[in-house]
Amino acid sequence: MIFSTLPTRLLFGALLLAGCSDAPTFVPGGAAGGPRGAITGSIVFTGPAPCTRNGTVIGAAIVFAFHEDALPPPEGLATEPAGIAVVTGDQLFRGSSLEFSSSGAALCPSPTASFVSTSSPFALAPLEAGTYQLRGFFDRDGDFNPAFSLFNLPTRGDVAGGAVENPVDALAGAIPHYRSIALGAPSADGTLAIPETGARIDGVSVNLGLSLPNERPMFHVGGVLEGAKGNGELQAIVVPSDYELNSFDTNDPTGTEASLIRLTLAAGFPASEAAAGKAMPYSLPLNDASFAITREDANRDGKRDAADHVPESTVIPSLAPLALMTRLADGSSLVTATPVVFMQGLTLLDSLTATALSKPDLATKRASLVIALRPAAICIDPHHPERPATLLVSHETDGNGKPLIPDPEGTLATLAKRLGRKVELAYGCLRQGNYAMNLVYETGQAWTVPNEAGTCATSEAPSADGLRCGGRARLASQAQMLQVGAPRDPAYCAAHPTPPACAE
Amino acid sequence: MTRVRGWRVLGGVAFVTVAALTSLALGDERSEARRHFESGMAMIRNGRYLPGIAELERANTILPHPSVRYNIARAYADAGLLEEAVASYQGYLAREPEDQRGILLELRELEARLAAEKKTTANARNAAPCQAPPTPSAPEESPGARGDDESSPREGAYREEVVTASRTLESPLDAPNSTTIITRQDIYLSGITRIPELLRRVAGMDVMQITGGDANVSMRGLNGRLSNKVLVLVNGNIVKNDLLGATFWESLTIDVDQLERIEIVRGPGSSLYGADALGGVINIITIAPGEGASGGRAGIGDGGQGYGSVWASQRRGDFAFRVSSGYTRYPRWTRELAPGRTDVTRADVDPNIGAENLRFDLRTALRVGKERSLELGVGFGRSTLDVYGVGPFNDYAVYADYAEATAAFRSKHLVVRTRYSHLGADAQQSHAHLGHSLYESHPTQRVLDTNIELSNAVVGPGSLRHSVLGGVGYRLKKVDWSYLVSPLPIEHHVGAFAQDAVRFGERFGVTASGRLDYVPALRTVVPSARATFLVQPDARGRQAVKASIATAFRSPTFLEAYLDLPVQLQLSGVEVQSSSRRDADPSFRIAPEKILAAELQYQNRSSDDVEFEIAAYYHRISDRIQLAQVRRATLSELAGGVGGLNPETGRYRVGSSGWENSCGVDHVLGGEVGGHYVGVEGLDVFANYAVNYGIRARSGDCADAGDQRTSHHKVNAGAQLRLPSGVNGEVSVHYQTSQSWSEQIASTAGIVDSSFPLPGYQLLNGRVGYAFLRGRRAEVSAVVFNALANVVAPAPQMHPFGNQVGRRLMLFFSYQL
Repeated sequence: MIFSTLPTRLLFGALLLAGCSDAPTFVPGGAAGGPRGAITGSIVFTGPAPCTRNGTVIGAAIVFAFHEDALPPPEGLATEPAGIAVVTGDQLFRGSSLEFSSSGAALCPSPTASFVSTSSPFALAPLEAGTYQLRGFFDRDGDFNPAFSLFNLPTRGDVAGGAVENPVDALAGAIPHYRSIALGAPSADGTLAIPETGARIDGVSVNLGLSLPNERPMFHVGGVLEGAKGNGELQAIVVPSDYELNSFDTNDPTGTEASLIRLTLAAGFPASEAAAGKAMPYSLPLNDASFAITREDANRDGKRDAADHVPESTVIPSLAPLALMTRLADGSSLVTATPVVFMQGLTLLDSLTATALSKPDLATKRASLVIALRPAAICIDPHHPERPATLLVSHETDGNGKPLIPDPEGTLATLAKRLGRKVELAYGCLRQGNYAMNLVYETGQAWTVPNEAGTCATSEAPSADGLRCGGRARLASQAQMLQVGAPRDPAYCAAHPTPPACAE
Repeated sequence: MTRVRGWRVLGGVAFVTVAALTSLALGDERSEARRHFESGMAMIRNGRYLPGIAELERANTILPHPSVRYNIARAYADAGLLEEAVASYQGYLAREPEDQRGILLELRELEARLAAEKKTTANARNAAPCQAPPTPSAPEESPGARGDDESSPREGAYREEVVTASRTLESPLDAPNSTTIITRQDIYLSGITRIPELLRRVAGMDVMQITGGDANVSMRGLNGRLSNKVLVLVNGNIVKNDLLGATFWESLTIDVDQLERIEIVRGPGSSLYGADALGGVINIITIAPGEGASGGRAGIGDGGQGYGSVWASQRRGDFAFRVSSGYTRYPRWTRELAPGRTDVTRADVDPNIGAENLRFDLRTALRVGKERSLELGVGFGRSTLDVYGVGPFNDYAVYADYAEATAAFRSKHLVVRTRYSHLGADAQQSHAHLGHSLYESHPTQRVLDTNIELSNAVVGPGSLRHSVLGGVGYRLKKVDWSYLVSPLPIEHHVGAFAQDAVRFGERFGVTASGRLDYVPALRTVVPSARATFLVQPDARGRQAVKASIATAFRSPTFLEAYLDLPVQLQLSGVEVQSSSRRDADPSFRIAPEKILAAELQYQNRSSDDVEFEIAAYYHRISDRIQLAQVRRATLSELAGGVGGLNPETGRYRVGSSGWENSCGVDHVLGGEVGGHYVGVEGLDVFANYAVNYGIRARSGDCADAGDQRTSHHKVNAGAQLRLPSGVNGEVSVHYQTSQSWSEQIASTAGIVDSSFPLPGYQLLNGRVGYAFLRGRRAEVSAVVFNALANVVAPAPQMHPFGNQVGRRLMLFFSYQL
């Protein structure tokens, strides 16, 4: 028989043994299975006991991963994180002694009455190679919803934090220093790359312990000053692309202020929209809405002092909330264009003079503030950190011939430090288009107009009177937008066109 | 003077048996056997008995057939060679044919004649030793022998017949659809052990191997993952997976050693088979109980391949059975997950396994009267499979148990068939990024399928003949799966069909069929129809021109009709709710996919050496069911209480997705030309070419551009060799041109559509075998699949997300008792 010979048996045995090895590795293009990076660790919560309802904990802990080249405001311009991990309140507080209402009703212990310490693991994956910062918060009131810009940031009472190097100081109010987490192995060109077995960083602690004292800077445009320079229509505030200042002189604050197109932003929503804004689906805290105004740590030295001023002048402090006007993608009223083109407004306390006279330890609450629009924009590509940014100024001088950028080197250096890349200066007409208006606190809490509350989604049928979108009220004040429109002097723009870095 | 009377060519002892032994499409022993048979019959009619008998013996050696053995016996009887006739009759009766009682009478009469003759001869010797023995008397018609059946065609034996196209036995030339048959010889000589790979040689077929255990089969431009546009049957019973609509080929309870043939009907078949026969029908027909010898086969190969099959087949009077058990192991060609990956969570599965299967199958048949039989069967399979889903759902590990029980009653005019199947599985993704779900689930499926068919032939006035067929079918489906809504309804599908095949004389015919199906998920009745006009230009009926038009539909699967699954995005803390229903539009329902097909076909089998066919078709495909674009969450939904944090998953819902019907309409033009040559004994050569071009018509704001996932050109060619020395084998080549796929993938931006080009590829397969021992009972063989991988081109992918399909070698040993 064929099996009777020893060589035959050995042959079959060898064949059997030879076959059982691992299949070669091949990752198809486009499939999500290729090696990537992961960051794991623990969320360490130290803060007020959470709210409960129906036997469960309200809210969740959210951890964001941001690439260091694409940080969120105020440090950067990112609007989307590279990763988001969620740990529900039930998971985070498993094992903690909590209060529950016997009727199932919502029960929120006083933020100062009881403190809880707990921790829970988290995992962030998949991530590309790079250096990351982790930031997060515990959504104590359960109003977070990443699907909408109205709800995608922490609010008052939420407990914020991140993977920081100075957790104790940050809890005491110092500016947090976020840990830089390098994910990947160094490659030949010095950049980080994901090896074939993936990259993983374990043991990262995300400390949540800072109860946020303020709500997000909800606003609407209450008025436009010097709007005749453009168009003061509140729903579409137009700034000409060749926006020119008659005077820009710190020795002439009145004249300078009068040269600037200024927006008066009012906290919250107009009275006509307050009721709708407090009802579903918004449920926004509009009672006694106000802005929390402070001096900004503009030079990122951890201190708020006289060195924290606007680039154009040493006497004008840089105030928070920051005002950023970000260009929207063509055809969209909610999506930021890429590359990012933004105009940074000047936050003022009533007037330029009042702002200049404010103290470094300024901390006040106001129902309104003034944003002066600079005749300049910064053009930056967040996806290519190696590319320089461009500071685009509409004119070299004001109407009196005074340079708008008297110290270009210093200005560019300040901006470079702020933006984390080289900045080049260009003079030309501003990029036309629609711009969203953003107010940003140093905590990262921000508000953007236009937003979903003022705009009907494609599947939401608008009512004939424009007051409703499908099944909810439409809030017109939240559809306001800034427009950079046609130049007053087309010949000027023909001679000084928008540079390519801002025109792509 | 010799007479040839009572030549009763057994056209069908039982239709399954005849069909089992006479089917052919890609060239094999049948043609050779038929040549010898026809030659022998012609000689016998001319009184040349001995040479004629030799030809019949040769035919029977090439391809044993009971009709031939009977005809040999009759020829001996007519030639007066009574001892040989008796021996031949006894050989025929040894197979316990259905008509053995009548044949026994003939045999007894013959034995009586033989005894009388011997006595006469002995008396003559005793009385007159020097006298010459008496001259054998002229053959008389044996008393009780069946008279000439003048309606029996000359080519009664080895007549090629198919059953799937019309649900009744007929010649492929009469079949209303283009029909291809993969014969037992094709299966044997190719050495291929996977049924999908056997189908690749059929013109116009798309066979897509994604992993070692996931193959998708479609035809004429309906390619796709979880391929669900071809209805797959085993012995007429639907075996597709109702959960997904696809067929998991590796989990069938039969392996290739149990197959008699595979019939492939190209073109819509809903008018007879109902939903899901959108592109065509594949009917896998097993070797009938009692047929063939018992035996076994074992094989091993590189990469850890394994194959084992044992079977026993016997007949005891009216009862026959065939039992088989098998094991197959197919590793993945490549794996996505490199060893030592640190960024993923793995399921507890072997990452190298593509498919590993254990199967058992028992089929029995009991004759319960003249042309009546009762068939019972059970089957069981246990499989470990690596399969790819749709959209961003890839690389699933499935562990499934499958069981079925079948029963059928057949008579000349009635078939009642029922089948119960149970599937239970554990399924999860093989791996996922840390913090991501493996989507573990435990689906179960129970299906009860019952069909009643009535058929009759009616002769009308003049030369009008009707073959009418009608029937009803009921299919109950009960599914439980956590991916779907809960509770799931039990679905009751009901269908009724009718067909009339009208012949106007010998050359013209019209076949019209229609069916109504109630589809529970749609709550509506869906009609299907087919009409075929047939012209046979030559008097011998060996050419046919057919023009047909047909409609068909595919009803939504359970996954499409009842999906309710939160799908985690790459940002692990967020998800989209993927549902078949839409919160914003409660009246939304997925419509069935529809096809309107027109075909023109020419078949030529005039020559014994060459046969070929040409087909051209047009398809209009509408309402293709596909993954919907993700719809971002709206504030209106939030106002209605939809959205926010999902406490069950711990993720935030940011949008919705699910299924939709494409807003575009596909217009497809295609054609197939193929033929085979059997002019040299022992050598069969086949080749075919298929072309397929489609465009998607869009109107209004329809932005669905579709893709090109079917190759424009496909070529198959091959040669089979059978030498008297026992050496045999096959070489085959397949080539197809490039494709371009649009697939949904997960990214940080959500679930997005992306385009993936796929280059064309070729496959070179071969088998060489050597049969030895008396009766060629034993055989050793070597089989290579995709011999050219990494030689002339990189190992191809057949889908952008699939494995690189490399080269595989297997060695086999088989033995038959």
